[in-house]
Amino acid sequence: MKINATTFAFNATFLALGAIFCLTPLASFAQSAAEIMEKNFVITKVTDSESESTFILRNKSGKERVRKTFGTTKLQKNGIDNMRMTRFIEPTDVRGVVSLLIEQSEKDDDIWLYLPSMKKVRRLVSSNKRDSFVGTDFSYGDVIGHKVQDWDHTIAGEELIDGFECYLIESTPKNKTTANNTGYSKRVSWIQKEAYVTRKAEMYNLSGALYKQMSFKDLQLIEPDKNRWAAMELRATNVISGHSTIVKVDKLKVNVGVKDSYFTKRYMESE
Amino acid sequence: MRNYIELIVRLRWLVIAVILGLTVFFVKNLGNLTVIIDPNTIVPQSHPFVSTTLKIEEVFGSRYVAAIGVTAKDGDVFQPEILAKVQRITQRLSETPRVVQTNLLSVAASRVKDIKGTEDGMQVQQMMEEVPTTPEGLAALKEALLRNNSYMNSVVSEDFKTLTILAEVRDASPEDKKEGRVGFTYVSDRISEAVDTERDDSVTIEVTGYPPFIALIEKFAERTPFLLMIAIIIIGIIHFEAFRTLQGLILPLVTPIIAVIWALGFMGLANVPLDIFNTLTPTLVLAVGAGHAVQLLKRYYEEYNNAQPNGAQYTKTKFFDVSRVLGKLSPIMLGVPVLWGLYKGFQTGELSDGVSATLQVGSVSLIPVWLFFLWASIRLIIYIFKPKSIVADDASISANRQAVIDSIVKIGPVMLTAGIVASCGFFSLMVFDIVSIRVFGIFSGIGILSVLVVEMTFIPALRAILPPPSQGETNLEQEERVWDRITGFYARTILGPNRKHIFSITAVLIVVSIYGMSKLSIESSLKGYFSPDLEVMQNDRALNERMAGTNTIYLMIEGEEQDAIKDPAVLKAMDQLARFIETEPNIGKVMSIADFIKQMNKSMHADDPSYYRIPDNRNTIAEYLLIYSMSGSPGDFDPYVDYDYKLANMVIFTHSDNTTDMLTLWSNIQNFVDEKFPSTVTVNVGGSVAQSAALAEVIVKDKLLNIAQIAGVVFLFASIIFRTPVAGLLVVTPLLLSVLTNMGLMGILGLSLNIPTALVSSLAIGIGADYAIYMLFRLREELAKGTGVDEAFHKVLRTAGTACLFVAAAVTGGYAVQAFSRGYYPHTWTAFLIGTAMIVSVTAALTVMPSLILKFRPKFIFDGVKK
Repeated sequence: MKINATTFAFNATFLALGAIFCLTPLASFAQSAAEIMEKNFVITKVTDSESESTFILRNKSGKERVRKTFGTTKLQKNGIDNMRMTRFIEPTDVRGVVSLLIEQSEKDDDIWLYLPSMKKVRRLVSSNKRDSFVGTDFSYGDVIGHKVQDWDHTIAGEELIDGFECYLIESTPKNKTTANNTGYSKRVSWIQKEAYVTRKAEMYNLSGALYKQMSFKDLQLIEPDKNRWAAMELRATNVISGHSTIVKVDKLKVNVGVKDSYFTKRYMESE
Repeated sequence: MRNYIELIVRLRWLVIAVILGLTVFFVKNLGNLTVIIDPNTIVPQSHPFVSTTLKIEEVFGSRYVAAIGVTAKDGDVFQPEILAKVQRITQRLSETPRVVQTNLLSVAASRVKDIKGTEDGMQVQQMMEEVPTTPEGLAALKEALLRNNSYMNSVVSEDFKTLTILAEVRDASPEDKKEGRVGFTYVSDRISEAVDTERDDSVTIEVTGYPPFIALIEKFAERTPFLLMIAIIIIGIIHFEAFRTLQGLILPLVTPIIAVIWALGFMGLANVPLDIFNTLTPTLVLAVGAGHAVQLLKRYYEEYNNAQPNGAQYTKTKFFDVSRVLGKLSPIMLGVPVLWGLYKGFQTGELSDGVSATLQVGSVSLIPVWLFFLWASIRLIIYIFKPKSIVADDASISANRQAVIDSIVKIGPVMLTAGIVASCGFFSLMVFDIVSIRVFGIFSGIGILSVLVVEMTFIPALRAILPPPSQGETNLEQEERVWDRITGFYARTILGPNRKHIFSITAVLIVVSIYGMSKLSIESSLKGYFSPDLEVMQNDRALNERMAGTNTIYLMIEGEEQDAIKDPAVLKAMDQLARFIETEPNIGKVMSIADFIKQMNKSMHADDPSYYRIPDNRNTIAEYLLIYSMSGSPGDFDPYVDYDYKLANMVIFTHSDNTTDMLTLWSNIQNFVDEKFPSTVTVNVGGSVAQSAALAEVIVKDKLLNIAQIAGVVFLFASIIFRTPVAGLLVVTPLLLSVLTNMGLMGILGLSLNIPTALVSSLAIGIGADYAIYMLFRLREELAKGTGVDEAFHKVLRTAGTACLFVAAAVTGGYAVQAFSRGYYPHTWTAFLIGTAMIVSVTAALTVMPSLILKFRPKFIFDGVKK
C-alpha cells in the first residue's frame, strides 16, 4: 500500500469543492455578487495534492457503504480542470481498483478504471455534469465548480454560519442549457466574508423544489501562498431521496510535486 | 322485567330525553370517525407473504405499481412527439407526491441506463436524456433498447408500439396524511392529470395497476351511504306494506338508525377507523335491529288487541281510513318507482341514473305517504296536547301502556338472549389477524348491543307516548294478507302429511349445496371486483396483452450476511430462477440485479454475447457494482438490491392477477429454490398479487373458522339458555343451512369466496339465529300456556313467524337495490347473497326447524304441554 505515492482523486475533488471558495482576504467594499463568486470559484484549485479519505454513503434508512481511498490530484494547465487518480483500499472486494479522471469542463469526462480481478484498464464513458460524481450526492458540476459567467448572482443577505459571517448569494442559471446541464434551477451559497470559502450551499431542482443541501466543515488554508483552501469534511444530502454523502479527508498534503506519470494507464496497471 | 318496563313507561319522557341526548352526543363523535382506506387492514399481517411485502416496500420502495401505456396509433413509438409525451409524463410523475421517484421505470427515467460496450471499455448513459429528433437518433434509441434486454417488454413492447411508464406508489406517510395526500383516489387523480394533457390523436394512453383499481373501490364505496339510505327507505316501506301502520313504517327503522349512529360514535370515540370493507356493517345492524323491532311491534299489536277492553274500542276513522287506502296503494307506490329505476338503470348502465329515476318517480308516487305523515303528525300533536277529549279514551291509553309492558315482558328476554348471542358471536371475531375483520366484529357487536338498549328503553317509552292504534289500524294489521297466507301454508305443511317433503327438499338442497361448494373457488383477484366493461378494466386488458403484464410479484432473496448477493453462486441461481419463471404460464418478464451484472459483463468484453453471463469471480462482480455506481446515480439499483447487498428483489411481471395461479407459481419457485439455491439464501414472495393470495388463503382457513366460531358461540348460548344442546342444534340449523346454500349457490354460479362474499356469510349467521330463537321461545310459551300443539304452531307461525318474514322480505328488498350498482361486483354480490341468505334462513326457521321439533319432540319445548 503505497500511500505516499498514490493519493486520491476523489479526495482532491472534494478538497477542491471545499476550498472552491476563497480569494484574497483583502475584501473590497461593494463587491458584486459575481465578483464574490469569481473569487470563490478558484479558492479550492490547489496545485496538486495527495490525500487519504473516507467516503460514507448513507441511504434513507441509514444503511452505509464506507469506502476508503488514496488519491492524487494535479491541476491542469487551464487552472480549472484537475486530473484525479483514486485507488480503493476498502471495501476489500474492490481493493486495488484504480480510477483516473481527467476533468474536461467543456465536455463529458472520461474515467479510466483498472479492475484488478480482470487485470485490465477499461474506459468508462458516463453521462454528464448533472449526474452523480462517482456515486456520491455531489454532481460532477458541484465538484468541478459551476462556471460563474453562466449564472446570474445576487447578494440576498448575510448570515452567520458556524460562527462565520457569510454572504448569502443566490444564483440562477442564465439560460436553459445551464439549467439542464446542472439540473439546478437555483443555487444558494453561503460564502464566508473575506475568505471566500463556501460554508454551506443549497440547490433547487428544475421543478423548483429543494434538492440538495451541502455543508463544508473544518476549512483549512492549505496553500497559503496561492490562498487555497480545503474542507476536511464535506457533506451533501439529497433531500428528495434521503441519500447522503460524507467525505472525511483523513490526510492531506498539497503542492508536493505530484508527477504527471501518476495519471497514466501504465501507472494504473503497475500496482 | 315487568318492574323495569313499568319504570320505563313511567319515566318515558326522561328515557326519551336521555336516549336522544346520547344520540346527539354520538352524532358529535361521528366527527372523530375516520375512514381509512388502507389496503394493509384487509391483509393478514402475520402471513409470510404480507410481511415480505412490507419488508420489500420498506427496503426497495415497491408496493403498488401503476402502469401507464402510451401506444402509437400509427407506426412505432420512435417518433419525437410520442417520446416527448413519455418524457413529460415521466417528469410529472417524478414530481408527484407518493410516487417513488427513484423507482420510476420509463424510457425517460434517469435510472434507465443504456449499458454499452465500447472498444476500450464501457459506456453507461441515460437511455433517453433528451428526445432524439433525427432519424439516426431515433434509430440509436431503438438499438439501445434492444441492447439492454432488461428494458425490452418492460419499458417498451416487443413490437415497439407501446412505451410503458411504471410508477410505484407508496403508502401515505404521516406527513402525507397531514397534507391530505391520503387514499388512492389522490394518487390516481394526480396520475390522470399527468397523463390527460398528453392525450391526442397520435396515441392511445392507458392507465392501469393497483392504484387506479383501489381508487375505483374508493369511488364505488362512496355509493354505499347512498345505497344504505335507499335500503332504509325500502325496508321502511315494505314494513309499512306489512303492518299498514305508521308505527310499522317508522319504529323498526328508528332503532337500527340510532344503533348505527351509536356504533359509529363509539368507533369515533375509540379512534377505531372504519374501512371500506366494513360498509356491510350498517346493513347488519339495520337487519338485526329491524328484526327485533318488528318482533316487538308484532307482539305489541297482539297484546294490545288482547288488552283492549271490550266496548271501549277507539274507533275513529271509519269514514275514511287513510291507512287502509295507503296500504292498498303501497305496492304500486313502491313498485312503480323501483321498476322504473331498474329499467332506467339497466338501460344506461349507471347506478346514479337508476337511482335518480327511482327518486323522481318515487317522490311523486310517495306523495300519499308524505300526506299520511303530515296527517299523522298533526294527529300526534293534537293527541299530546288534548289527549282524552279528541283522540282517544282512557281505556285505550291504558290498554296501550299495558300492551307496551306486556309485549316487552314477553319479548324482552328473547330479544336480549338473541342479541347477546349474536353480539358475542361478533365480538369473538376480535381474535382474527385481519384488522378489517376485527373492526367488523367490534362494530357489529356494539351495533347489536345498541339495538338492544334502544329497543329496551327508547322504543317502549316512545310507544307509551304515541297514540294507541286506532281500530282501523289494528284491523288492518290483523287482516290476513299474503304474509299470513305464506306462514299459514307453512303451518299446514309442517303439521300435515307433507312434512316429509320438507325434509326431502332440505336434503336435496344440502346435496346440491355441497356439490356447489365443491366447485367454489377461493379467489381474491382485485380485478375480479370490476365489470370488464369499465374503462380501467379495458385499459388493463389492452396493456396486459401488449406488455409483460400489469401485475407484479416480488421475490425477496435474502442472504445471511452483507454482500451475500455479490456471490456468483447466488447471482447465477437468481438468473436461472428468472429464466425458469419466464417459462411458467402467464409470466411476461423477470427483472433482477443479475440482468445488469450480465449486461455489464458483456459490455466490458466489447459486447461479446458469450459474456452475457454472471462472472465467476466474486471480485469482478464487486468491481462492476462499484463502477456502475460511479456512472449512475446512487439510487439506480435501489429497486433491485439493498444497500449492503444482503437482500435482492426480483420483479416478476405477470399477465394474471389470479391468486390460484400465483400460489402454483410460488410452489414451483420453492421447489426450484430448494434445488438450485445455496442453503444460506432464503427466498420469499411478496407484492400485491401475493397479498391477495395471502388474503385468499386466510379466507379459506379463517373465514370458515370465523363462521364456525360464530355458529359455535350461538350453539353454546342457545344450549345454555334452553339448558339442552338440542336447542343449540335447532337454532344453528337454519343458520348453517343458509350458509351452506349461499356457498353452494356461489359455487354453482361461479362466484368465488372473497372478502365481500365471505362477509355476507357472517351476516347471514348473525341474523339467521334470531329467527330461530324467536320461534323457539314463542313455541315454548304457547305450549306452556296449554295451547294445543297444532294450534300453537299455527299461532306461532302467524305471529312470530310472520314477523320474521316481514324482516326477511324488507332486508332482501332493501338490498336488492344494490344490484343497480353497475360495474362494481361486490355490490351486486351483496344484493344477491343477502337476499338468498335471508330467504333461506327465514324459510328454514319457519319450516325445517319446526318440522324437526315436531318430528323429534324435544323435551325442552314440549315440557310444558299439559297431558
